[in-house]
Amino acid sequence: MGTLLRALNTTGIERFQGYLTDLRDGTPGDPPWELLEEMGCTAELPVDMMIEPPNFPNRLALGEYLCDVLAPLRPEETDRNTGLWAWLSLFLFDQVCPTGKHPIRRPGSDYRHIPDFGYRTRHRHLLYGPYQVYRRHGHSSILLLSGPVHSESRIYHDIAGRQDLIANRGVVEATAMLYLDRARGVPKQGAQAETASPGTIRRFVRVLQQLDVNYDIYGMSGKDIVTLLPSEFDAWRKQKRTRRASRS
Amino acid sequence: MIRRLNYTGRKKIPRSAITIRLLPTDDGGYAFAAEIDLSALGFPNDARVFIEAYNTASYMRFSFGTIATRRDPKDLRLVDITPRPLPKFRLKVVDQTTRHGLLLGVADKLVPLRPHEDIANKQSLLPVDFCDLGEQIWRLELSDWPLLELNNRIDAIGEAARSGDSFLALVYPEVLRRILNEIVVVLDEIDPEFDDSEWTSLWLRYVCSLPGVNEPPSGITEEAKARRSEWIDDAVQAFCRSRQARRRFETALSKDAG
Repeated sequence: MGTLLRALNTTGIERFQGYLTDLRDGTPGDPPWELLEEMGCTAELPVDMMIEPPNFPNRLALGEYLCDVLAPLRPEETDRNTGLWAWLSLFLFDQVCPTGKHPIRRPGSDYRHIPDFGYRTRHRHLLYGPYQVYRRHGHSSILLLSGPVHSESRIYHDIAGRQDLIANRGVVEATAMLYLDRARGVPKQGAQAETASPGTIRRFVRVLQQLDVNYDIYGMSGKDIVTLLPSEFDAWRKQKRTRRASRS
Repeated sequence: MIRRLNYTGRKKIPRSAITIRLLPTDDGGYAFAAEIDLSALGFPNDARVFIEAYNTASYMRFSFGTIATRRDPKDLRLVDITPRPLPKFRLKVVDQTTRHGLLLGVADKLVPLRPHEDIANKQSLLPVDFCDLGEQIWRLELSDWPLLELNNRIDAIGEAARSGDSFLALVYPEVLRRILNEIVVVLDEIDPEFDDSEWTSLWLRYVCSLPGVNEPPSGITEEAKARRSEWIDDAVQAFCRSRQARRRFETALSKDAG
């Protein structure tokens, strides 16, 4: 049967925001799920849609589900609709902010649950981000959207945070060719190092930004981009899976 | 800001060489029209010409033939580009005679003219777009090039933004403050001469042309950062002074009081 998808209105968003603030202040409490159907806190969408989401094994499955379920809406009805994404976050709060080992949920910044569509934070919303990436790249975003629903990987952060890279299909393909452990569907070990050591994702981003000055990166396939990279990426080009996995 | 090296001598295509105008389509989206004149720039005849449209995470690419034989695509609808935020454009001239296409020339971050916008606005420092902002009056979009979004639910908002005293006094100083903060604090860009096609340089030049405003302080220490914040305050003050913001606001108040 499912639940009728709605959008939080200004009042609903303020109350949800208040709950997030309480959590950060250390006040435990159940999510205000009653807001989801309260007429004074929500608004109808142009199309009636029922949703009954499963537990998502990763952000890729989440992105795919959201693209399916929101397909009846036009892009302008989803893309800057703060209330819609806030409603979805509250509805899926057990997945985007699970209790895990800690009795108190740790929501992080508001923009993870209530989108801020400024260019530095729009991709940080835990539902809108995967939705937008999957909508553009489909299953090619398998690496970027690996990992659990409630956290972003460094690879996602480094690529999705840069408009020129995330819009580029070749770059997303090349990222997967270099850093995806295809057998396990996760990043190869060491790819997401914090430092910009040779061949890591952070170096990949810097090298691409330099190559973009002189090469038509947008016109290239992932394969072309990979062949253009300097030798510091040789180890990743050759490696099909993480070193540990290949030894076993 | 990390400096990038142009080691193949790629040319910068002047903005004056291209004009892009958005055209409304029947389904509520946009197509575009492009006027291009690259004849004086000395590109090889067989170099390919592309125009790319993009915003946030959406992107489309259109081939316009070669330098010698221009062929406009039949379909210039921006079907994969969301209408908001306003799309921007990039013109590329590419040498495709090798496997990896070499960029010969680029004009980047081209802000299109809206359907009925005057050509005089082509190189505006602060383009304006009208869209549904719910209960918000205005919003500043800072990705790529500053864009002032105004709520199209409000009648005469365009006129208010163009010549309204209250709008000038209350909105533009804050817009300027946010733009300068983005440039000198977030992007760490302080050189007005860095690149005359970058919005950061153009805005710094504009602000430094105001009476009493010097270039932003350099340095990477905490103290230097603090001085940049003071510089922003001074620059906003100078802007208000040059536009007589207080006097105009007082006049507007007295008109309201009747």
